[in-house]
Amino acid sequence: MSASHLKERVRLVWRDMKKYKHAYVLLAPYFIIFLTFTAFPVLMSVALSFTNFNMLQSPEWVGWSNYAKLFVNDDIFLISLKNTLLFAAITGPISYMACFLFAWLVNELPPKIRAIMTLILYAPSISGNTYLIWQLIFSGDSYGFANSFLMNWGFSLEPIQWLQDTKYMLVILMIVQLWLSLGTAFLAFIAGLQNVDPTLYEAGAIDGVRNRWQELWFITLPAMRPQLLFGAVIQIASSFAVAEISMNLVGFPSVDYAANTIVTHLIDYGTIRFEMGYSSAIATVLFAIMLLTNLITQRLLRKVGE
Amino acid sequence: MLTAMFTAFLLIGWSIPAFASPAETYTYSFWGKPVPAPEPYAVAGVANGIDLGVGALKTPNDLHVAANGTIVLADTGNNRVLVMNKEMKVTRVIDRFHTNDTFNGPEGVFHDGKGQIYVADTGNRRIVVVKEDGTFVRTIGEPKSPLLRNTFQYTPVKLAVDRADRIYVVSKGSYEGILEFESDGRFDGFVGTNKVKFNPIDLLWKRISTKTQRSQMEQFIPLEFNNLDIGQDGFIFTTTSEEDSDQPIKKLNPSGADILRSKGYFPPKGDTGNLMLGSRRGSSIFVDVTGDVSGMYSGLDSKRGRIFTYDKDGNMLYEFGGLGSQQSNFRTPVAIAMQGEQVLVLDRDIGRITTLAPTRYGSLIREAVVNLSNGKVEASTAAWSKVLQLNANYDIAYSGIGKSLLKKGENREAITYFKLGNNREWYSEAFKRYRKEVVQSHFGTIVLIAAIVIAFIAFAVKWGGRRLAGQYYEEVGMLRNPFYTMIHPFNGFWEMKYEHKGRIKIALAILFALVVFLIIKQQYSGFVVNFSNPAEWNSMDTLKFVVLPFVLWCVANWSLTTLMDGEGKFREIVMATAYALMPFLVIYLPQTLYSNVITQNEASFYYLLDGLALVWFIWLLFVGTMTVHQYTPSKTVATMLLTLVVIGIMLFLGVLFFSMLQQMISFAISIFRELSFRY
Repeated sequence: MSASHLKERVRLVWRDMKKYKHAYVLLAPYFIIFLTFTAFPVLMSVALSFTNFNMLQSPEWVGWSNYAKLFVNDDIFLISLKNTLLFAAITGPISYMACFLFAWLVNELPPKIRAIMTLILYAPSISGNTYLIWQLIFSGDSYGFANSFLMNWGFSLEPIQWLQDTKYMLVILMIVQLWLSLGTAFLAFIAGLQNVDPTLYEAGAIDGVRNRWQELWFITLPAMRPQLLFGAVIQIASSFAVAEISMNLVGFPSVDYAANTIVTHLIDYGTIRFEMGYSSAIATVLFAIMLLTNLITQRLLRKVGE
Repeated sequence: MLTAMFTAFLLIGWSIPAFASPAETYTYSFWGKPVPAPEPYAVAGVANGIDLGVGALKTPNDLHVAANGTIVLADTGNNRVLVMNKEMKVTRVIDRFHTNDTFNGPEGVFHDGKGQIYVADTGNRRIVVVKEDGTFVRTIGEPKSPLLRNTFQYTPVKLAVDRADRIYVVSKGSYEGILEFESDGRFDGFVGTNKVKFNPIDLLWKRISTKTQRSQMEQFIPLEFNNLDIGQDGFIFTTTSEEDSDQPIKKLNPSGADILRSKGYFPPKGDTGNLMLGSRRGSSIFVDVTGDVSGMYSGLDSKRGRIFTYDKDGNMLYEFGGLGSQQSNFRTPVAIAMQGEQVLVLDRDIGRITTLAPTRYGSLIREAVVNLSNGKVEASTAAWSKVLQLNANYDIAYSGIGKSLLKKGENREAITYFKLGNNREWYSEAFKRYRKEVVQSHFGTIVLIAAIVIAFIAFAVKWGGRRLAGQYYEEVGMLRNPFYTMIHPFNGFWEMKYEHKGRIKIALAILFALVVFLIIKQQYSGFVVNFSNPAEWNSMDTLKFVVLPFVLWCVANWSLTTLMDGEGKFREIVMATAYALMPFLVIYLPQTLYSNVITQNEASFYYLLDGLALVWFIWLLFVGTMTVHQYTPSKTVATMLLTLVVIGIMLFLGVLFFSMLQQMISFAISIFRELSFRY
């Protein structure tokens, strides 16, 4: 690519930009807000992750040392990473499928009942402190529902410390997370299912769709691909950003750090120790992981209906 | 069948030595095999009543050694208590006290180390306290308390006294636990009740039966303790005579909870493994336990007359003793006590006390354990090394050396020792530290390599995508077909069936590769997740576990689908099944590599990968079966389940056939013998 050629390109682009200046003006409000409130903070955080910053003194450049410390010296981070990945690998896909399955089932109901069922299924994820119920169920004394059931029926002889025992913590958190997960994605799927053009089904029937599964795979899913993508993003973000339930159910920090996640680690370093550079590094790692999973998921979803 | 017989023979060969002569002491390896070990204790002397000069002992039941070495013995049949000094000379025979009061079959005795002897006077249902010279102190009668049920029968058999002079009594038939008396003789309550064991089904029956039925059922009551001892740290050791319990020995803290650690290969329950062979069957039954220095303790097993010594973590250190008529063996051992390093064992039927002293091997182990628990790392390592010279199969020694190396920060050497000691928990810890060292020193290189790999993958994906862009239909070659099928099962299997894309050769190659990969996985997967015994590795086994199910599945599926109008030919079934195995092929190698760089708590990912491979395989098999036979999904599921049933039937017929064949052969042989003897 020669210099003159490049010049020519720049000129052409500039000309085009002048031509569509109205479009840029219309785009500006959103774009400015997006830049200041989303893109800039993210980039800022990435930049801060290479510094040592404690909110009082000005940040001092330290290069990769935050990352080195994170992956080598920070055992708790490795535990958190392990927990988060396990969490995402198990609850992410299951909750995504559950969302779709429930949406699909609810969609079959008559309108009035559908509205009620939607509310019932959606309720857990909007109710504020649902942890109370789960704390009752998995209470460590013999009055907790789970313990009293097991002891009454002779499965166990003594109360199990559900929320203090490192063996059970993660599993319980996963169960609670699954229960909470019928959220935004679920609503999006219902909307998507409503939007599928009924004529497509008729066309499919004529063209030789043999059963419900084929109908689902070749017509319903491709027709609601935008909602599927949106749901995937939401669900991945929520399964990677698990922190609230961990802190509320098993305490913060949890016993032996067995239920710590990346986000709780982040909260620890960011809001308790104010090591902003270090917590920015944690956030950047989390961001990178989420971005990668999102890309992979989108690639997979593109294959839907093929 | 033949192999089964053969393994049975092997097992008999490996089983617990039925009649242990003194030279047949052993330890248990990680795989539950008794491994011969040097003798830890040897007989230093035996003494019966005649030798002691007090006339024959009649069914003596208990023996206790005080801290100062004084021995007291309950000579139950003669209604007397013997007091001996350190050298086993009888200093006093107590049979009368407090103006002609006598004992009536005393079964338990305890010396509190302050000159007072407590006797459980079983026949008179009381506890008698006397001084060493026989002067009477007091008696403690039956406890009176609303805590006791009406039918409670107080028969004190064993007792112990702690530093605060509280008296703990085991009463025969008292399932509520150990009776605790204050120092002034007031009954205080029960401590450390054993837990009731029952299963949910029994409980369900009990729930739905009427009151009269319930009263006729067997009751769930806790087991009673049969013996107790106070350890050197003041905690109470107890034994319970229960078959197949994992906690026959307990260590009770002041609130009566069991705090005995069980960190060894097996719970501290004596003999383990295949107990249904030999003349005396079943698990060990402990009748006495004695505390020892540094949290060690020894239990006396009445079933095989063996003494098992454990350290404070529950690792079995050594075993010795046994039943038999030699001097070093026992007939009915009932009590055990430690006199310093020596072990005293009381035999009830012979009425004899056996003194065993540690051999060089035994005392080295003890030295190492004591030093390790006192934090003297160097000394304990030295002792462990000497133990290993005497017994190279001694896993605990390797772990012990590993722990001291870890303390010194020599992680790499520690890894080796923990591996030899088969101690996965500590191996994991050492490996974690070593890994940290390595990553820290090569952080830049590792990041660089990772970046290069990621860039390479990104480039490859981009380039591959560009090459395939704009093609609606992609042509897949024979070799790429299996990989294509993994990701596009519907298309792949369709092409295999109707467009002749499958090849039997490739299918068999996949099968063979799977066997190879499985062997690799078994051999080289990381120590943390590798539980296969290198002494029992056999590639033929792997072949059996892969090829045999594969062949059975294909044959069963073919025979079933021909009846259920499936369209598949046998060739296609073989191909579809083999192609469905691809996920294992793809996942196993990276998984094996990965397993070598993980610690114990990262192992969950390893198992997750296993699960992923399995689910993927089942999915592919399902789609393959569906496509090959042109079935509906529900019919496919039914067919697959039925295929499993058919496999079961085939196996049953095979076993039947072989056993019939064996019968026929042995019949023919016996006829031939008969004829050859006759003519």
